[in-house]
Amino acid sequence: MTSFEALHVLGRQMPGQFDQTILRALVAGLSA
Amino acid sequence: MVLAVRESGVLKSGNFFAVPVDDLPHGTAVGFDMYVRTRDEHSPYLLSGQAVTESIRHALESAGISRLYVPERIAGPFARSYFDAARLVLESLDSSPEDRAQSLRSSAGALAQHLVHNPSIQSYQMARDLNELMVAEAVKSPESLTALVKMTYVEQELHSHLVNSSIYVIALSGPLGIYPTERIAMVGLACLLYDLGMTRVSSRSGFTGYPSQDPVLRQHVFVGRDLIHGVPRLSREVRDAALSHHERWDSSGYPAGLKGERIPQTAQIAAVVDIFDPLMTSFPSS
Repeated sequence: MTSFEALHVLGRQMPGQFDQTILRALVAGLSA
Repeated sequence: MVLAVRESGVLKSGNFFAVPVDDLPHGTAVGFDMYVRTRDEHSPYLLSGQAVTESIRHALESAGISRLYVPERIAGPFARSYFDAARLVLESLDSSPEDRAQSLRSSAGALAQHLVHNPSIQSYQMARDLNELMVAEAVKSPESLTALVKMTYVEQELHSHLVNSSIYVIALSGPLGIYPTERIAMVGLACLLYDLGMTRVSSRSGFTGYPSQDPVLRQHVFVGRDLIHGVPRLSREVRDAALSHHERWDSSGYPAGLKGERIPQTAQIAAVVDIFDPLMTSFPSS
C-alpha cells in the first residue's frame, strides 16, 4: 500500500480521529 | 539451521531474538563467537574479533541462512556494536547515502531489540544518542532520509514497528515545520519509545472483543509511561507520547478521552505513525 492509499484508508475507516495536518505532513515527507 | 552464540567452549541455550543477515554491521568486529548449529556439528562462521565482510554475509546467505539468532541477554553489547558500526560508516567520507542509511537502520533495529528485551537507563541513553545521529544525518543528507524511508521493514515485530515510527517522524518533521534538530530528535525518540509498554502486558483476561478494546492491553499506555519515568534527559513529551498515543482527535480514544489540541502534539504524531505503519507494513496495531 502506498502512503497515499494509506491516507485514503485512514480517512474512510477512521474519519476525524487524527489531525489532518500531521497526516498530510507524513504523506508529504514519505513522498519527498 | 539456527545460529547461536558459543562462549568459553559451551553452546549456550536460552531466549534468542532473530536478526536478518543483511543487518550485520559491515566492517566491524563481532564481540562474540557465532556458530551455525546443524544437526550433527557446529560450524563456525564468525569468530569473536572477526570483521564482518561481504564474503561472510555471502557465505551465510549461500548456506540458506537469512537470520541470526542472538541471546536476549547480550542484546546490549549487540546493540552497542551496531551503534559503533554506524558511527564508523557515518564518519567515512566515501560511504554512500544507502550505506549510511543501512547502518543507521541496522543500528536502530538492534537498539530497539535491546529496548524491547531490556529497557534500562543505558538503552534509553543509547536510543537518545542514536536518534540524534539519525536526525543529523537526515537533515544533512535528504538522500539518506529517502534511503531510510525505503528501508522501513515489514516484519511483524514490535522493534521494527518502533524503528519505522521513528523514521516516519523524521520524514514528516520538515513538512510539519518541526525544528530545530534537537526537537526533531526528541519527537523521533518519543516515537521509538511510545509502545514499549506492550512488552510488559499480555492479555489473559479471556476478553473476546477487538484487541484495541481489551482492558488489559489498554494498560500498556500507563506501563509504557512508567517505564520511562525518571530517565534523565528524557523530556515530558516522551512520556506524553507513551501515555496518550491512543487518544483521538475526536475524543474517541483512551485513556483520558482528550480532544483535539488538548492532546500533546508529540502524542498526536505518535498516534498517526502508530496506525500508519501497520497500513504500510503488516504489523498489527496496538
